[in-house]
Amino acid sequence: MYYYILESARQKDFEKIEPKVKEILTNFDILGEFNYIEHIADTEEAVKIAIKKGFSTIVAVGGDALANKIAVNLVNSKIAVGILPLEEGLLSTALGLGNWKSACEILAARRILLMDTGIINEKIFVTQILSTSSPEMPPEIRSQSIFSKILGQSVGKSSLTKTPIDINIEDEYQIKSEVTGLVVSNLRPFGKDIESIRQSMIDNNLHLAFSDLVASGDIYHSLNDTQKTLEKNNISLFHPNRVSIHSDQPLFFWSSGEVIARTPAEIEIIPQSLKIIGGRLR
Amino acid sequence: MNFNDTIIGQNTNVSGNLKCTADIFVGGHVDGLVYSDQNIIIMEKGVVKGQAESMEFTLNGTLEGKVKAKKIYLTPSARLLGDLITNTLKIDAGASFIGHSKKIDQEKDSKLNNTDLIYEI
Repeated sequence: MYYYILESARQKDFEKIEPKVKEILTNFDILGEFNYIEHIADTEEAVKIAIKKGFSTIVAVGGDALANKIAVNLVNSKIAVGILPLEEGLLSTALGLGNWKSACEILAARRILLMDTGIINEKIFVTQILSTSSPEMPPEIRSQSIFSKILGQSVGKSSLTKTPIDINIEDEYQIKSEVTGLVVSNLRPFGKDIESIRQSMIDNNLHLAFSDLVASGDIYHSLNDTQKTLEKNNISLFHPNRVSIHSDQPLFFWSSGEVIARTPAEIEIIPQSLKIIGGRLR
Repeated sequence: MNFNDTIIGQNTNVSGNLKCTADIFVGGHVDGLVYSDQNIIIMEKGVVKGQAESMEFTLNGTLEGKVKAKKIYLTPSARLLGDLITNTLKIDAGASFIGHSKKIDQEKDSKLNNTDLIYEI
C-alpha cells in the first residue's frame, strides 16, 4: 500500500505529467493514495495520516528535501520510504532511481535498503546538515525555490563569519579551528562514483568537513571537486561516527530548509535505521 | 586522494589519538599520535609533535617525535627532529633530519640498539 506526498507549491508542473504518472503506477498496481500538501512544513502531518491509515510505503513525489522530511519521521519504523524524483538530488542518485519513469518501476519492485541516518541534538537528518552563523536564512538561500540547489551553492559572502569551534571526535581526539562553514554528511558527495555514494549509505560513518575560507554550500560543492580545490578552500575532512561541536558564538545547523539544531551539538550516526526503496546498481 | 581520506587543513589543531584506515593529509598542527593503515602525508605547513605510524610516510613539513613506516620520504622542505624506524628511507637534498634511525626488524633486536645511525643533513 503506497502513500504519495507531493508538495504542490513547489511542483507546479506536476499536473502536466500527473495523468501519465498515475497511469504507470496503476499498471504496476502501486497506485495508492495521493496527499497534495501545500508546503514542506506540512509533511509531518501527512506522514502521521499515512501511518494512521496503515500504509506500508510513503513516497516523496519531488526531491531530496521532501524525502528527508518524510524519512526523519520513519527512522527505526517498519514503513519504507520511496522517492518519485521530479528534480535532481543526491539521495535519488545514490538510490539509482534515474527519472520518474524508471523510479516507478523501482518503486514497484520494492527492493528495500537499510540506510544509516544521523541525529543531532535529538533531531534526525538523512543526507546532510549545513551550518551558518545566523539562524536567519541568508538572502541568497531565500531566493532559491529549490532547496537541493542550495547545497551546491554559496550562502554568500555576507554570512562568512569566522567562528572558533572545539570538536571532540569519539573521545579520541580534539580539534580546534575557526570555521566559516561546516557540513556533516551522511552520504558522501565526493566524486561521481554512484557505487561509493551507495556504500556511504551503510558505512556507519558521518563525514565532517569544515573550512575557514568558504561557506557551507561551497564546502559541499568542493567535496565533489579535486584535491586542489580542497586545498584552495582550506577544507578539513574527518569521518567520525560520533562527534560533539562546541562554540562560544552559536552555529546553526540546517536540514531540508530549516534550522534543526545549534551548538553545542552532539551528532551521531544511527546505523541502518531507515528502510528506503532503491534500484540495483549496474 | 579519495573521500575516505582525512584532511587536517591549515589553522586546524588536532590533539589526541587520530587513527584512520585511509590516507591522512596534515596541513595543520597535530599533538599526539597519527596512525594510518595507508599513507601519511605531512604538507609543507603541517606540523606533527608526537608519533606517526603508517605504511608510507611523506614529510614535506615538520615532525618532532617518532615516525615508523615501511617507507619514509623526506622531501627538500622536510624537517624531522626525532627518531625514525623504517625499511626504506629516502632523503632529498635540503631536508633536515636530526635524530636516530633504525630498520623495522632491528627494533626488536636489542643488540642493535647501540648501532643506531645518526643523520644530520
